[in-house]
Amino acid sequence: MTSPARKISVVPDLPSVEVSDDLALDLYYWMTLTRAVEERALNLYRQGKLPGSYYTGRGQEAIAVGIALPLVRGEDGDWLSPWIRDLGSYLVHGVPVWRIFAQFMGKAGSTTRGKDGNLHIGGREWNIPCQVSHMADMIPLTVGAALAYKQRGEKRVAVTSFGDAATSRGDFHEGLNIAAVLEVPAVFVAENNGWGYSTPISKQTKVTDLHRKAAAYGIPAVSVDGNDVFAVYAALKASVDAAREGGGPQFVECKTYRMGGHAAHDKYESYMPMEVLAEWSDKDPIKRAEAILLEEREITEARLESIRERARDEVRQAVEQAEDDGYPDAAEAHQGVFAETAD
Amino acid sequence: MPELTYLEAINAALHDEMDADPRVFCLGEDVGRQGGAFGATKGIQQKYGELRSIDTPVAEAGIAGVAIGAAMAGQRPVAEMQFGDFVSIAFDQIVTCAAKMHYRIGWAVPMVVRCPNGGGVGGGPYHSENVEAWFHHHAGLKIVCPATADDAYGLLRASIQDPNPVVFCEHKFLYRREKADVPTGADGRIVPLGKARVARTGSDLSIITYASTVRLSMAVADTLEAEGTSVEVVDLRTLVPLDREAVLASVKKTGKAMIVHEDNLTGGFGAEVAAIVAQEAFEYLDAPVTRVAAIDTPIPFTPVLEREYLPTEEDILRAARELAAY
Repeated sequence: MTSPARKISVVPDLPSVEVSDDLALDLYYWMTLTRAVEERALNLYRQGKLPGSYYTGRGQEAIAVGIALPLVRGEDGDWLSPWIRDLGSYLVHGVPVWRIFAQFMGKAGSTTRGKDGNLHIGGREWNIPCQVSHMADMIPLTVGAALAYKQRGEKRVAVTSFGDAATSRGDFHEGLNIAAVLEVPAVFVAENNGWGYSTPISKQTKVTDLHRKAAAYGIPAVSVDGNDVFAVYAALKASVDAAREGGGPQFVECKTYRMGGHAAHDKYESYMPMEVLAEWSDKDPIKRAEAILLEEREITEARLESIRERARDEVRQAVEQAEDDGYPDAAEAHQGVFAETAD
Repeated sequence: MPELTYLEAINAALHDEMDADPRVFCLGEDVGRQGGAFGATKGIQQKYGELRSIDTPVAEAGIAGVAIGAAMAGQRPVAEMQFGDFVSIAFDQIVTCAAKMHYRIGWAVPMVVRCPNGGGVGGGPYHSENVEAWFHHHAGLKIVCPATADDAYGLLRASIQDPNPVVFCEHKFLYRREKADVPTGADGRIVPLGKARVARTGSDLSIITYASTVRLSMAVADTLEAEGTSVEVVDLRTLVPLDREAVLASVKKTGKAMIVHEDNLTGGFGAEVAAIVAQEAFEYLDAPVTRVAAIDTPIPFTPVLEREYLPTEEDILRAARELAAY
């Protein structure tokens, strides 16, 4: 029961993008799954079942999912290097749900075999490099992957996302500048959520419209409502297509808000204005997508509920599988410092 | 067989690897049309084009990060730091991303960062640094320090072929002073990483050294030979992996160990070698383990100060005589 595709035009500079009902439901499913994973993980953290700290991207699911869905998945697909708020990007780009829980738990089945935690997830099979804690470091790496594709004449793109605070770091500037000069197929996604830990964006930069920074490097840039999954998807699809077709690097700013602390241990109530938080709560990306699906696209509530149920089931099974998984052998700590082969 | 300088040997190794493997490419400041500040990448852009010989903006962290990403995406980048000193800007990328990627997710990062290293050329505090010890402490990086033209060629080829990130410390003082008949192309010799070279055999004491101080140690060995002391000189070639067996075999034979490097003393690589020798060859030692290195200051500019900073042939000779007489 597919209705005619809707053309989404987010910015006059970019071509409009078709979003069919099936694709719209896909976007909804991935956002729902993302939130279900994070809610479950947060509970596990509070129950003391996850070592370390816990970081969520609640309220930023539209960006995480909208970035990843236009990309080609798999080892020979597009490079995707998401930041700490974008759990949904990992899911869409192919990482199995149970391995994400195993990662949080430090189990053997984690993508790092217990050697790294939280969303420091990666693997060649998904063409996802493993992010590091140092802000903006993954930007030059993403430029390098894009350069490799260009050198070999492959029609692949490299995409990375980062927060507003990362734009203060040198690697942001060095990476964007090199990408522009070398004209590589890289797409940069700045998630402007207003906060770097406890520091508001006004203390981070004088240029709070982050897409304007791209102009300094001669990179085409757009800014979209990061809580509108259709807008994010359309902006990314158009930008990725442009990069893939030889248009050089592209920049997308997604405006959103961090719906809580930097991490689960952060007492954000002491510095975040509660009235602004409440305002953004009304702009919740999942609620907004539901309204569009129900009212504009006339999808039934029953169909949405079946999607939510599917997500809950997947999470339940994934947590069971991760809990059943063992911890790595202590010997694992000694292994893998050097590679025996690059292939 | 052509006689090549150490610098020409590096250039030849780059040409030969570029020729053998289309994934290999060079990037860095002025490496393309100009062929690099020293000429190490001369002729490469003319032969292989701008996509495989990339003139980058002045952005060392960016250069290193781009190399890491390209390596992960299947290429074999050789990044040049115009001077080894500037790798301080790229340190985070190398240590944070390159060195830990394989350990975390088993995804290899086959890349080389070439660092023109060392003093003796009037470069002052920002063009003379020896950077090997900066990286030695961190797991996940190979560190290569050639002393001869032969090794500059063979070790660079091995470094480019290695599946890991390699910090290649090529010594600027040796660029035009070290020469040898270096076979290249199909006859080129690859020197495996992790195998030390006994540059001179001897029986009374062992000098364990690498890079620029190998030639000084060889001269000292000549002088002491005439005085009736037989010196063995072990050229480590690579600090990581370290050929512990070669070090211990030499020290167990001579019973006396002296470590010499141009880098400054404190926290230098010599401390690690001294600890290994003390722990694993203690019962063979006839004298305390000795170190000769630069003084613990920044590297000063003017010749009289730079000479005071650097370990000289006289410094090594004096220390070796004392050790021989112990």
